[in-house]
Amino acid sequence: MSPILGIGGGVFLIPFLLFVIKIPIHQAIATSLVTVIATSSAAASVNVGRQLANIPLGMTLELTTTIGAILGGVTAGLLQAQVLHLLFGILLVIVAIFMMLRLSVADLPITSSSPGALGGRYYDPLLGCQVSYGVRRLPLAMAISLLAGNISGLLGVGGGVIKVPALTLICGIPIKAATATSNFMIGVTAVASAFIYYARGQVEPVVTAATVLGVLAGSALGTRVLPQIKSRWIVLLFFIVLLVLATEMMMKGLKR
Amino acid sequence: MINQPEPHLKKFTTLLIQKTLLYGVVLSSIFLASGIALLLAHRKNLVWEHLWLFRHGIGVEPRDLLQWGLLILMFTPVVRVLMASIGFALDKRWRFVAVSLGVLMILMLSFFSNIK
Repeated sequence: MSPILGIGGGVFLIPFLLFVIKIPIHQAIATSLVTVIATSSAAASVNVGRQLANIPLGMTLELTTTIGAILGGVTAGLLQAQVLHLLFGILLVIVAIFMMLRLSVADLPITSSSPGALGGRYYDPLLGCQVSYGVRRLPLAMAISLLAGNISGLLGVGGGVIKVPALTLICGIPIKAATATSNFMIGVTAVASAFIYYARGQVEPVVTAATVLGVLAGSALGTRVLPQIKSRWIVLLFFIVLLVLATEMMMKGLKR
Repeated sequence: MINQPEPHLKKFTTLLIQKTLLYGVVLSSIFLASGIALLLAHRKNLVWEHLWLFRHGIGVEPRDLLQWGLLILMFTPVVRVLMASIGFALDKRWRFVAVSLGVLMILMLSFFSNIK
């Protein structure tokens, strides 16, 4: 569902692992992080080949996003499960809102500018021209990457929901390059905190392996099937699903 | 998207990163799928002769395969960062070599410092 919704699978995977497989939230977060590494690496290998992911920019932002992820991973170890449930519920509400807003972000006009040291250039067949872009406000983007990494390490999501709008609205990068660059970064962000969960013994091999294989197969199938489905209805459906899951998570968090 | 050369990245660097990610995911998937298959076969008493040989002849347990698969997967982005630094060095883009090595150092700190 990720390509059509513009969000990673973690927001759906963690509630599934909690409510269906019934594993503790720390293990669910660890499983999700390892899954994020798999999907990000698979997608990035394609995006890098297509010259869409901006590697120099991605590497620069990884400096802060990895530090944020480590801090998030350490913080998660100190927090009780109930607090994490509550925080994840709040995150789901934010993701639902961002998912709806993303449609309008995608409609932003593309302005052509000189690439500079960190910018990029790619050919867009839909526009029928070469898109050239520079990178604005890098220090602010690095600060937001720190926050995105922190949320990723704390709650087991990729953090793309923060990175993509930040790259588009703050740095002025076209949405296609922003999505590919965010995806390129997510794997490294996830691994920074996944090592911490691994050291704590929270990466359960059987559940994680089955989840990774299932998600990889699902994303391969999704890229073939989903383009034929009308995206607006799916976004609306999942907006409702996310709000229901958010309510469940917050209620679990508030339960004594 | 149609392949177009990026203004600031040589094809070799891109290829190095792309292949690292691809082979990392494929290799770890092979290990994970083999581990799951052996585990299922073991649980359902479907340990055929060749599986028995695989398990006892080489001495590999299903859980070992899963652990290896997960470690290969987790180290794929780390190797990708290393490859990027090599690619940037070959391109003589020293600023990004420093950035890549900085990221690599942070990842190594996360793994080796045993932070819990």
